[in-house]
Amino acid sequence: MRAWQAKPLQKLMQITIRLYGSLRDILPSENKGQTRLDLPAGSTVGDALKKVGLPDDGYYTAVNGENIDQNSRPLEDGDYVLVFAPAAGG
Amino acid sequence: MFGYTGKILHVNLTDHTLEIEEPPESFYRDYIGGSLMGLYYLWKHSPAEIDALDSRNTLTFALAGPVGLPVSGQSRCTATCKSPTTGGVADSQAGGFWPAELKFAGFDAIVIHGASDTPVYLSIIDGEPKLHDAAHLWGKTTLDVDETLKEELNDKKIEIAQIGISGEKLANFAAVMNMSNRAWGRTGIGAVMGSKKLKAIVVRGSQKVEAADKKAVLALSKQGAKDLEPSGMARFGKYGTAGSVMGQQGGGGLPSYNWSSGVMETLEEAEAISGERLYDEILAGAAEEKQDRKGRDTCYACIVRCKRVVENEWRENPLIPEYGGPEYETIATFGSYCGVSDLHAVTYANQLCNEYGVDTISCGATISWAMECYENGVITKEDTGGIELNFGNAEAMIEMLKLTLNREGFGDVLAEGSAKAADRLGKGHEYLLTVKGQELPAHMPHVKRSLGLIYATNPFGADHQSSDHDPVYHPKLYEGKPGRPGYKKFLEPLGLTRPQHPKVLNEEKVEFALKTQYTFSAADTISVCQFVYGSSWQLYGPQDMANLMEMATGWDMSVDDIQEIGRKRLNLMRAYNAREGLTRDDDTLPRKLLTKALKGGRSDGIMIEEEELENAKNSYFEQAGWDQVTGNPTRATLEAVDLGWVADDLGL
Repeated sequence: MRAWQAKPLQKLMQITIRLYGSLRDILPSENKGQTRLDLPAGSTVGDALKKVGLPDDGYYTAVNGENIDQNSRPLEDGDYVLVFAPAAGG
Repeated sequence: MFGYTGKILHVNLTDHTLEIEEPPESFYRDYIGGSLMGLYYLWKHSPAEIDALDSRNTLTFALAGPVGLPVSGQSRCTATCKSPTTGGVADSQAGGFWPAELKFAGFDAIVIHGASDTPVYLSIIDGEPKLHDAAHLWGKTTLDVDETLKEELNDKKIEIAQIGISGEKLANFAAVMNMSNRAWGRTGIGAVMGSKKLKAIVVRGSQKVEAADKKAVLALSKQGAKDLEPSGMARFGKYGTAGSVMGQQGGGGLPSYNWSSGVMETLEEAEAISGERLYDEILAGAAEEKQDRKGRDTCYACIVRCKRVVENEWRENPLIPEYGGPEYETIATFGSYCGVSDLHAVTYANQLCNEYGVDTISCGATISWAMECYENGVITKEDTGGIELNFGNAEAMIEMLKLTLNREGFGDVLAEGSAKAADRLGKGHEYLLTVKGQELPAHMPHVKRSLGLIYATNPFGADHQSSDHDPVYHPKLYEGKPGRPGYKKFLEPLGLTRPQHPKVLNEEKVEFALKTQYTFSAADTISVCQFVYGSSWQLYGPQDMANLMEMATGWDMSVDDIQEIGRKRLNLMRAYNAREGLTRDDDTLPRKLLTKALKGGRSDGIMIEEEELENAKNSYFEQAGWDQVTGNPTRATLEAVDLGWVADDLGL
């Protein structure tokens, strides 16, 4: 009889993401563009974007107030991610 | 002839006579309507190099074939004359219901000649034009005039285009308003109308617009309704142009503190003036979460409904729904330009501008210029009459705005616009944000590099609605991804297949600027809304623009034809400016942008390089077929767009 082997528990982290402009309507309206996400440890900004249903690039993003240029940047537990859509005319 | 009424009204205000012209269809095919038609009349009827407030300045309001059809984005009208702001062509578009109603009243255009000795207003009711005394309207605010005329003519459904008190007082940035909240805002057209003592134009009628292919128009309309959600235009309609405030902040492109920075100092300050905040707190119906029903307005037959309706107060001053809510541009000029993060104050500033009839862009930017002068001691409390005009001081901003609108105290200087104010004071030129005398709109060429080229070269001064913006040509946004449609679909038919990064200004980007400028130029001629038919806002696109023109008129129309219409209008504008004495030397950016780097945010340290701009101008003039030294169209180019007679007039 084979011994039962527990799968190692996947380590999760929690971040907060805030979506600006019309992007905020991706979330339920009562969220007003902000929600908490549980993501596997080692997830990136791009992963967070995908988790809320957005393409993983093509936006201006900031983490904890710092502008970032690469959405491959890893996130840490408690991070606060801001997402802005580039504006055309108007 | 389909689409058009076939009638153009000529109004001579000097001798109070009216004449109806019925041009042949060939004239309409040559000059289409909107801006191109207005330019034709300006060229033919106004002598060269007159002052813009001379009675011989010809002011035209013109439509094109699609106006009045039951489809989104067609109720647009262009006003054209010589500009008191730039000394070149004045050109501005407005929407609302007035444009469609002018067509229903029986005319494709109104051409206004001369000037009246006393205030008058014009009415066109069911094909019958008439001039009336307007002494009783002079000195009244826009909403007051709206209500007075509706009562006087006993018809609540009349549409009214009018100047406000600032137009009467010849403010350099006076606008022509309709609905008391839609503006022919830019280039000082309200001052020209004021100089003619024409207070208002009332239109009302029941004439139907006959489309060549009615079924196709209805099918296009149905297609728009189907595409409203997936295209993203439903969300654009929900937040309006104000929805882009935070995107600008995030990208370092929100002009702040008179363009010393591309961001408000803190995220919270930017959030405080965002479109989301406007929607959540100030739109009518916000308290009961019924903004989408009560807090949004539209233009004739448009399903996008992007206009704001507010209902709130600022310091016990009611924010009145009829005056509408601020667009992105207004939020920027009275908000971030002035360092003000009080959205209620910005909304009140918007209301005052609509009440008195001024362009919110130039007016707000003039006050932010005065603020930077004040911060640097160039002007003092002695100049301002005791007002502490620091960045961020909302009360001071409103107080100075009121003085400006009434032309009282230092406000009389500011009503000249910032460039003329600096000349009058003999100081403050280093803080100006003007091109050809007109203040910059609120999109920054530091992060949208081709926009700097268009700001510098555009015939009626820096303009953000004369070409598409760089982000849509970003390789990632051009291609699109699941969940985000790419712009390729709309740009490829224009021949734009070489996407570039927004901060690059190379030959490919110049091509992008020029070709999209042709498209936007066509939209202002065909009289359609750039938010609905533009190459980036995507309910419809350039192919639909061509189709709509064909459905309306029955004329064969391709995207290439659309581009040629835009090219012809741009060439005629440029030729007009050449006639009035403008040259390549006028095609530059404010010294501040070329000598001072931005501070803070994603655009920290960025400055516009003059060499890059000059190289881009060389490439632009070459691609446009214009002379490298003067920047003016050559005979060959004018002949290529059927404007050989213009080359003759210019002696080319």
